[in-house]
Order: sequence, then structure tokens, then C-alpha cells
Amino acid sequence: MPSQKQSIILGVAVATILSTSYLSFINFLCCAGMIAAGMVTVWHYTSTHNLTIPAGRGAVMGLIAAGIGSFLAIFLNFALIKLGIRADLAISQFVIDTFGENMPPEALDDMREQMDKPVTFAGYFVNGLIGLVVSAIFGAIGGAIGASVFKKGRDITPDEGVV
Amino acid sequence: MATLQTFQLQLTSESMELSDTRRPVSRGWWVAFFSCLILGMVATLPPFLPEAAREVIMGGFSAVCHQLPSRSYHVNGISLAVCHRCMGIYYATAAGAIIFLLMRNRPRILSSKAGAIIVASLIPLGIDWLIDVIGWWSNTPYSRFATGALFGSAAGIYYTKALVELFQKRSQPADESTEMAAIDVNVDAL
Repeated sequence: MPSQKQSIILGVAVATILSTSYLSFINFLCCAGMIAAGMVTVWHYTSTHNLTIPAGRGAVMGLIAAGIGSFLAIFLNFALIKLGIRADLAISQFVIDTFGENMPPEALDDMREQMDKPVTFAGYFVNGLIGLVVSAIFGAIGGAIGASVFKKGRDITPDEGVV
Repeated sequence: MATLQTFQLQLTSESMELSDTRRPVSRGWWVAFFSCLILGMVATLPPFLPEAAREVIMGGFSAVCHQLPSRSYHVNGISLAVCHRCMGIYYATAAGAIIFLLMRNRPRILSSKAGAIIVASLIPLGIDWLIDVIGWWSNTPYSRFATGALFGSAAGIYYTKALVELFQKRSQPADESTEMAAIDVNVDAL
């Protein structure tokens, strides 16, 4: 069976980019970034090798791509935060400016308190791990959808290895 | 005198797919169902947790949801970890697993119409979001939850299908070239 590494690397790149800084806002649209990463992984694999793969294989490829991409994004985002590129503060300020009038005062105070809190790597890493699990699940969903949609050629046998 | 004979029948992947869906619920189905259900339940936890744990959960889901208080469900004044739409998606993926169970005798529809099903499930969600952004209509918690649930159901169906296939393939050693099934048949001697 053709190697899946190239396709998974592409999926990882898509997932990492769409999980970093301001581009990560796309995931506010129902984890669209992670679903896209899973679908791109499967699309590249089936298009490159003219194959149709089982949904299970697509789900595994999507899960791997989104999981690794989210993991790498934890470190990238933390580095950007330390460099002063605060996409998280930008979205919080946007929310306060746009929706602040309709928010309860306690919620506003909570948000401002969160914005003033210093970001530690340990806290950020733990939060990132929870996000990684969610991202991996949606990457698997994207890969399963991709395998069902992108059918390019002969069915591969199911007993061949994953990577 | 009846004799037992073992026949090996070569099955096409088509007929194997049909026979797979008539089997009892597989381990893959349970994994799919409970992973989706647990995801939704974890996102529902924040109002019931101490503050420190709540912050961890909220922080974890902040990467995948805007968590706007005005667009999230609240319990005792504390919002859940995700918005109305995402909550609909998460719980509906578990419902998608149940829908897959009910449709498992009709695998053709799921395979051949996959693209159409996904696009159709996204249209109401897209319309609900877009017309709110444009300002034509203010969507409601119900519309956000319902449109999210529609997409979640479809996504859950294919996620479940994938895990069912994955676990079934791992439990069945396959031949090098094609899928084989050994069937024991009790036949009367002619």
C-alpha cells in the first residue's frame, strides 16, 4: 500500500496552521479547521495514489493529522504569546466591545480578570491537551467524511498497515 | 447421516459490507457512541465543578469555541464550556451513532450519498449563521442548537461508520487479496 506519510504531513501542516494565532478562529466555526485538516489529508492521499480508502482508515489518518497539528500548535501559540502576539486577548477584547452591553457584569469582570492573568506554560499546556482531544476527534470526523466523499479509484484491502 | 462440511466462500466487499451491518452492535460502535457522549458531557461540566477545574475545562474548549456567554447555555449563572451550536453538534454526534445503528441495513445510501448528506447537513447551519452575521435575522438558541445538531448527526454517522469498520477489520484476519469468510454449513448427505 502506498505510504501515507506525505499526506499525513500535509494534514499536520494544515492543522497546525489553522490552530495557530488568529487563523485558529476558523475552529470557532464548528471545528472547521480540524475537519478540513482531516479531509485534506484523505483528499491528498486518494488523489495522489488514485485510491478509495475505507472510512476507518480515513478517520485514523485525520485523527493523526489533527492530533499532531494541535500538539505542535500548543508550542507555537505559546511562543507567539511570549512574543506579544496575543490573538487570545484580541478575541476577548472584540467580545467585550461587541457584546459587552448585553453581558452580565459578573461575566464581564471574569473576562477582564482572565485577560489580566499571566499565561504560564503549564496552564497553557493542560488547556491545550483538552483542545487536542477535541481536535483529534473532529480530525477523525473530517477524515471519515473525506474517505466517504473522495473516491478516486480502486478499493484498497483493509488489512494493510496504517502508516 | 448428516455430515458437517466447511465451505469457504469468497465474498465481494459489497456483500461483506451488507453482512457486517446485520451483525450485533460492534465494539467500534460503542467507542464511537461513548466518545461523542463523553465529549458533550465534559463540555457540560463547568457549572458543576470547583473554580479551578472549571477554568481548565473552559480553557481547553476555548480553542474550538468562542464561548460567548450570550450564546451559551447557563446553569446557575455559569455558562457551559461551548456555545449552543457546538453543544448541539457534540450531543448530536452521539445521536448520529444511533442513527447509524438504525440505518446499518442500508449501507449503500451512506456510502453513495456521503457528500450530499454532509452538504445538506451544513446548509441550515450556514444559513442560520450567515443571515445572523448579515443582520437579516437574529438567530436563537434553538436555531443554533438545532442546526448544529443537524450537522452533528451527519458527522456522527460517518464517524461511527469509520470506527465500526476499523474495529471490525482488526478483529477479522483478512486474506492477502480479498476478504474471505469461513462458514460452517451443516448439510445432509445426499
